[in-house]
Amino acid sequence: MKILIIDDAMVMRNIHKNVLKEHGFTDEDFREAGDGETALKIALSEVIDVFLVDWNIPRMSGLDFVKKIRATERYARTPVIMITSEAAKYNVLEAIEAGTTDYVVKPIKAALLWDKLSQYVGARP
Amino acid sequence: MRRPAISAQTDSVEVRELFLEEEFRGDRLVNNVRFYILFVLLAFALMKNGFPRALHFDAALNFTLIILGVGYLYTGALYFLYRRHVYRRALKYVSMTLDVTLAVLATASYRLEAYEEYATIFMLARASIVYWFIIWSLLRYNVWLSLYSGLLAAAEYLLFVVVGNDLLGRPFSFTGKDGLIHVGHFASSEEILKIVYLAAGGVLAMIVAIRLRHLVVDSMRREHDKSRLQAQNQLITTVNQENRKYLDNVREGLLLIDAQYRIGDQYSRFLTELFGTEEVAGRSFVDFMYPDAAMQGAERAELERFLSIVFSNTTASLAMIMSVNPLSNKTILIKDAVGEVKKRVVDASFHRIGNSAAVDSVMVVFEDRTAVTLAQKELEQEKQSHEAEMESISAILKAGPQALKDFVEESRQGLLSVMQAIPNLAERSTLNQAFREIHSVKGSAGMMGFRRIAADAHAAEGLLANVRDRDLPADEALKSSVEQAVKLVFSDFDAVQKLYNSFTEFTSRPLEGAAGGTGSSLDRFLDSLRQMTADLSVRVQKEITFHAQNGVGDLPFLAKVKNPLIHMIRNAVDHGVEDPFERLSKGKPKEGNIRLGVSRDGDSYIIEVADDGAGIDFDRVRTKGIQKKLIAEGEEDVSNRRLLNLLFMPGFSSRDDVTEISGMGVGLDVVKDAVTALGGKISVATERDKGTRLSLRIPG
Repeated sequence: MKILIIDDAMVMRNIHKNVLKEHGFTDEDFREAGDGETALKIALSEVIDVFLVDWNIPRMSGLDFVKKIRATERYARTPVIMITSEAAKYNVLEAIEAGTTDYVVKPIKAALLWDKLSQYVGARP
Repeated sequence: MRRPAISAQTDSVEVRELFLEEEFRGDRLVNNVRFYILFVLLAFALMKNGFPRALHFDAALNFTLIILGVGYLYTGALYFLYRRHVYRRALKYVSMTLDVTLAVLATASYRLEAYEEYATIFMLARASIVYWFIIWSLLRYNVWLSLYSGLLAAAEYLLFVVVGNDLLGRPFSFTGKDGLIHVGHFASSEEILKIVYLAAGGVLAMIVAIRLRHLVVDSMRREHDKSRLQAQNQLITTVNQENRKYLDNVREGLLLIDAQYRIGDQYSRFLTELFGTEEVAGRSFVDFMYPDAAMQGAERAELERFLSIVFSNTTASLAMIMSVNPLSNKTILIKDAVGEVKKRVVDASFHRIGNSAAVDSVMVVFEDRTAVTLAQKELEQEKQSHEAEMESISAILKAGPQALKDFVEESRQGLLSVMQAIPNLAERSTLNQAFREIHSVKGSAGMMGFRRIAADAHAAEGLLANVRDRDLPADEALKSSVEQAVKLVFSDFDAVQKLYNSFTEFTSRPLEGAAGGTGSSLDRFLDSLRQMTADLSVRVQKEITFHAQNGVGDLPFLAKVKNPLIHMIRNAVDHGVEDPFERLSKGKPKEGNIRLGVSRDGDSYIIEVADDGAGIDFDRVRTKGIQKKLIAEGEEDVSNRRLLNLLFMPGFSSRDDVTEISGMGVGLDVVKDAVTALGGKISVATERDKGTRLSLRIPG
């Protein structure tokens, strides 16, 4: 399983990783990127199974990143989870239209985050 | 209610089309066979005559060939008409008749070579009449067709006789004299011809038999198909009826929309009740929800955007899509049968129908949440008003009586000046003043912990801020809404006042008990006066507190002064104490007071009734006295003492004009009579805008 976590704040990336580690994932399961361009490079050079994208990332918005990977054949149906503090209806609409699979609203609560993620990453023993 | 079309009916129509097609194919087969027979007969005739000789035919052969040519032409024409599907039934019978005729004629052309006698032609033709009847009545079992064929054959026979004689260069005759061809002509070769004709008939019979077999097979298959389709129809009807029952009785608004957002035929009856319309099937769902394209453009765009996601977005999770559902707990306005507009709260959920790759249609389920929402709202309001009351109680307790009193009075003054400022809100200075007043009410209410008052004052302040900061016009609509808002704050204060009054009543009771006055008849009377004052003041919309002080325990002559005291209290409530706005405008507290004190001075009892109202208007009393001719002309500068005496004269004031004399009223003569009877005296003290005090001194 390769999960690409895209967030410019290392603290946030660690929070996501820790939540997943509690459910049996290890460091080998994660790829990390601090901005959209780096993320795109990683996505195109490897095969990612699940994306965890922050709405606000440098050098490319989260939405643009989603649009870019959706345009590729490889990631046409790969789960993309948007982490956002913008939970207003029109933001969610935009996210859906860009190709997002699901979204988690900030501030993050570990139990809720896992609740969402588990639907896409599958449970680990 | 418009019943949706049942799809089984459409199936039946298709079945009928199918059968027609089958029939047509059977006919075509017969037509083709007929065509081949004619072709074979012609070829046979040509071969018998020989090709070189065919170039110079004798007259009889020409005649035969013309008949054959006509035969081909009509067959071609018939074939064309058959393909065009016109006059099918009539063409079928005409063509069959002509076929047999032509077959007979073609055979005759062969016979011409062997028998140079042209008379044979009509012999053959005559024979054909017989065989026509035999063949057709055998094969068709159709009386009309037999008759028709017979008539046709008879006509042909006549034609043969005429044409045959003509060819031989002889005149026409019915009798056969002079070797003429005639109708009764008989030839010895006829027996051989019978065999030839029977053979031709046999071929035709075979063709018809093939056709009959087709017909039988067809009709059997048709029966079979029919029963199968009937069973299917029955099944569909049953399923539809079951669906219908469900759709008619389910308490949810169900409908299906296709990829063009059109609403399908099947929908629940409840949907029409929910939306108050029968126009459902075939309408665009967007139009159905938001019929007004001009006014509801934004809503329509949002719904269309959402529907497009529901139908075609394959990446987002259902939960995510449903989180942007624009029709969840949506308030809609429904016009009912009598044109009254009603508010409904509906909750729509969307369910995709089809496989994961493509959504064919979407089922929309509407739930009526009007009652639930209303109940929730009421519960919420009740909770809020309870909370506000609890907050007020704790604020009252926290503030203590003096601070509360100051707060209430200051705020009421402030609100009053806002009320007075409303007509002139267009003036900048007035607007600013009103804004400051309401702002300070809000501020102190917040500080004291009266959150409700603060919130309502904030709303009123907001209205004024719109004018001050956003340059909205201070028109009548705004003025009236400011007035509404300020009145709401007033009513909040009333509620606080009421609570406070309950408190003081609650806390004053044990004190009364401590004074030891409970249980005496005077105390009970004073209590009833307190109640009367409370009831009266509500009725005349004044706020009056009744204070009673019993310094004697009991009165020996209580029964005799009860009625005068009631009169005096009533007067004080009706005419003594001013209404709240008048009091506030005079700079007095909104709440008025009436005090009744009973005390003892040596042997005498002193009963005092005092109010802090408007006092006696002596000018009005003087005017009244002159009107009533109680003051002589030229004595207008009469003293106040004399004017007071006038008040106690019977008939000085009547019910009709009590209201004109502010501060005093009716029935003081009643008081005077009662006091005089007890050997007592009345004294009056009054001051404009301060109040009036009546003292009764009665010996014990």
